[in-house]
Amino acid sequence: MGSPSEDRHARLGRLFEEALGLSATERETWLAAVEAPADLVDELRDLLSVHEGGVPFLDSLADGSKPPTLEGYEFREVIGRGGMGVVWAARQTQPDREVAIKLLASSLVDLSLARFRREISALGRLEHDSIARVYEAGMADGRPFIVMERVKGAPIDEHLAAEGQLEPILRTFQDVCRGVAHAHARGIIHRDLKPANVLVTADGQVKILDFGIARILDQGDDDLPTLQTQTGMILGTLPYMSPEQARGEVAAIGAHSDVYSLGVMLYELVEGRRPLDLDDLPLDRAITRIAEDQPPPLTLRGRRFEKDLSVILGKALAKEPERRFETVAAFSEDIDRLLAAEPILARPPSTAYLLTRFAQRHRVLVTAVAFSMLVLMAATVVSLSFAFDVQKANVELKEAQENLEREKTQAVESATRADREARTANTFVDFMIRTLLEGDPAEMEEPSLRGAIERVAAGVDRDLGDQPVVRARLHRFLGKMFEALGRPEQSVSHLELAGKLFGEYAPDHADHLPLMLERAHGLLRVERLQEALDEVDHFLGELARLGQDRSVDEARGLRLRSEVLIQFGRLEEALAAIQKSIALAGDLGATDEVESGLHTLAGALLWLGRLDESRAQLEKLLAIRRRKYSGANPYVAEALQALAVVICQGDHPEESLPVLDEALAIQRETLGASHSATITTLSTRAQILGELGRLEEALADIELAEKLSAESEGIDSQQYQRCVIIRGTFLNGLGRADEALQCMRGFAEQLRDRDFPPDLIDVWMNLAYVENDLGHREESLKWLKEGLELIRRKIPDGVVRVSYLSVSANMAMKLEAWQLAADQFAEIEALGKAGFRLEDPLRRAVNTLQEGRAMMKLGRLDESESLILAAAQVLDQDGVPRSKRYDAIRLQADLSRTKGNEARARELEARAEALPGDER
Amino acid sequence: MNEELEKSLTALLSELGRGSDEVWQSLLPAVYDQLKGVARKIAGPGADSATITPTALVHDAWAKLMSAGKFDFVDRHHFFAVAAVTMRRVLIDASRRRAAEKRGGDLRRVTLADVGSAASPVDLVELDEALVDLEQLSARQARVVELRFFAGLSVPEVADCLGLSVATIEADWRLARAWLGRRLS
Repeated sequence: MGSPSEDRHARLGRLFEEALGLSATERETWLAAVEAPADLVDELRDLLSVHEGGVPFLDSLADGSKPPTLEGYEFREVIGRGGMGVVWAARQTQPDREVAIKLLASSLVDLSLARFRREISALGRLEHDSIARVYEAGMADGRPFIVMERVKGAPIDEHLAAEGQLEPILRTFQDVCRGVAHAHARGIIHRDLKPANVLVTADGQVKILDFGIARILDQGDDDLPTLQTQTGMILGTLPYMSPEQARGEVAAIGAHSDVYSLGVMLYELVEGRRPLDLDDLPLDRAITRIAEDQPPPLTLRGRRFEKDLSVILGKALAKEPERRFETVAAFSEDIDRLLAAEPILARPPSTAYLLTRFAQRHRVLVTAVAFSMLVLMAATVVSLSFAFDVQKANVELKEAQENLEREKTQAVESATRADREARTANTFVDFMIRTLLEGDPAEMEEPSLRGAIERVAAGVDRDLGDQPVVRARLHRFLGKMFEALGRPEQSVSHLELAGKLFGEYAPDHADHLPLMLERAHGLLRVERLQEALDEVDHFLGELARLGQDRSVDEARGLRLRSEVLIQFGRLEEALAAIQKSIALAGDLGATDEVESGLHTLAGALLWLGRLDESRAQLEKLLAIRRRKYSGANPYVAEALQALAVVICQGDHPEESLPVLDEALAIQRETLGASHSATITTLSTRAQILGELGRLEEALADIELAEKLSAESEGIDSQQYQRCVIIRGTFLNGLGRADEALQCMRGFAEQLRDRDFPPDLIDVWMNLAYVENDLGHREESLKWLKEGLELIRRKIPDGVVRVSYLSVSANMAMKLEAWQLAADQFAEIEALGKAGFRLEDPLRRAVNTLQEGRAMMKLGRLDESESLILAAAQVLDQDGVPRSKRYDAIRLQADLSRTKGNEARARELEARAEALPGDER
Repeated sequence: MNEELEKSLTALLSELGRGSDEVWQSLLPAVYDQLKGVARKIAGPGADSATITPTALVHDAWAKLMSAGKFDFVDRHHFFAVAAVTMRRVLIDASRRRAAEKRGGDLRRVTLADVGSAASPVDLVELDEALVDLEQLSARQARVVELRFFAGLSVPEVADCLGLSVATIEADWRLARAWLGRRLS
């Protein structure tokens, strides 16, 4: 018992309840007769009347304590609640069915009712087994409501939590995709796909909730104008949000955003964790991570579809919308293929694309010639460390010979079990040994070697059908041979076959572990980077598991890891990995490995913009190799080429030519003219010659490179495509503008309808450049604007975008499209404020200077002056290249003249002309 | 909503996230969402423009939650109970503070428009005082109101939270609602 007042209150409560159980007339009689003090009865009467009349502030604030009045529905209970409103379970009387009624927050009142109804009626037309139906919408008690199908089920992640098999997960997920695809086909985007919105009923039917609702809420609720104020909502949804959504780019949201969210869901369903760990992160960091970080690879080792699934997820989770599956249907079809064990269509991102993510560091800007150099250079620096040379081939062949002899013995041994087949194998191995390995391979002519290997490749699976381990070893051998012959695609497919066979039949085979590293390397060569990284990590993991770490193998693995990371643009990680590798190889006295490591280290340093250090490493490497190998040797060529690449990034690109020539001569002699490494060197030389204005020579080189790459790699290869672009610019430079235009226009038209890597936007910039040279200003502007449009569409906010905008803004300056230029500079500045700045302060200052020039031309002199002065503070310094310094001073002079200060202008001009140096 | 506040909110959220177990990880968004819903009802569009904004409100509540409770909550229910009390305190404080600022330092009261139906305005300070009185009569009923009103819980959720039957809570709510309605009319 409590205090008297508590007791009284308790009694009041009991009487109150009793009274509420009575009808209105019964209640009167009852109240008259109740045995209680008069004041209590009075209070009871008051309470009853308040109860009947309602307590508006409590009822509405304690959301949903009282269901709204809505004819035709009996409200049951609140089944859900969030920042946006309350969900009631209810029974509709006609037709008689269970429904869920979402009562939205009243701020939606601002949204016109007509529009609200229109939106909802579009949703109502969605009829699909996998989508919860929307029946009706309207206003009740001044609040918008939506009547939906009542779904009793568990969120898909809970439903599948105990599912150990991949296939049922994928099949259920396919049902989700079908529903989403159905809605997309009708122009409706979900925008908030997450497990909580995807239920699975007891009989296994998928039901997607809230299709299209997010959009309506976005429009209606003006309490959600910014990302920050949405924090509460975002917390639940953020992990499933696409980068464009996370950045709040509402206009960019589309079907591809749902593709991304589905990708996150699938990843989580198969992996048991989300692709990106956003826990513990403040919101801004979480958003950055969504926009930038690559998810870790899947860990479902040993499962059947692992690699393909990984690639499919990689495509669904691409940061840029245009790199994802174009439609959910396409996403779903690839999963169908996976389930049917057919080849999937998704491909991992190409190096060219990945490079654009950080290409800005080294782009030798603005001249139309230099644009694609870096792609070639990166390929050079990274991949050549594995380039073939004769010595290496000898070793490979000897190893293979020994292996084959062993196979032969094994084949003979197994003859008792499967006599006929084994004899076939025996014959086959004999054949191989005879055709391939007898005699000195170094003296063999390459064409016959290649032909023989291709004949062997054709026969392996046919003739050795049921001897998987022998086949595995032969595929491995073939993989290494094709790699050595500069045929990376073929190499990888054999290595993959070998890996598959070993994995299935002899996982503990001694060849299996080294094969992993070879395969990782092959994957890197064909730019399947994520798979390469997975594979190398797997390899390192296996080493540790077998207690074979702290070995040369580990150093190799670390180096390969570093090379993959370089291609990914994860440079600091790459640097750390390679330093670790070199240190380890040094401790073990593995000098070959140390050399390879130095090469990779130089590459990482180059990409980090640390040119001097990079050059020093390469000079060291070159000295070591010259001492070690006498005469023409591909390893020396490799070091030479890398050195040339670094030199031409510096202030005296012409010094790289003799270095490059020596490399080329060696490569032609030892690798042959059509080896991809040789072609790369050739086109690099073409570009440097072009830079130096020696266009005739440059054109000859690039035409040859184009021809050779078309022959050996095909016209779909990036090397070929870039050759075409470069040729166009050279033709233009030589005054053969019509040919140049023809070459580039055709290429651009061809690209326009395709999914192409963003760095090929250079084609548009070059067209603008060439048309302008021909005096076609309008045409030039057209290409520039189209290019700008592509930049905006294809390149997300970030430093890469800044870099591209710098190019296009400078092109606009050239076209004297001052306003266009000024707009772009303004965008660059805005991006800079958002943390996306070019690293090179000189380049930033040059942009500022150009912006100042644009402002001056637009007559906005005050703004111009402050910009120019700010730029001059950086540029007008000792140690700044003369041309930049000269420009800065001249522009100050121009400005002074425009402002009527002729004396000051002349003074500045005199100072500009008097600058030391011989360029002008 | 000023930047500083946003930033500290973010920091707070992440601080709460850190060092907490998985239950917390999943709970936080829901709780935050819920409190935000409450805040928007009380201080959202239509409310007296001089009152605290919804985000600031939730932020204040979080700040207080963090400084007071740290992570010693027994369970989700306990957390909601504390959250409700905190929201209440924040709202009342805000109301008082605004009153003071607006009216030159005296303690006359601000009314907050009832957003949902634009019906009679409710004086939060009066509601607070009424709740204090109700607590004398039935601590449990006061708790029920607090959870429903300030933490935005439904009747079944309150029942779950207090470990009582839905019927009991419904009865509690009916009486408390009528009692407060009478008191504040």
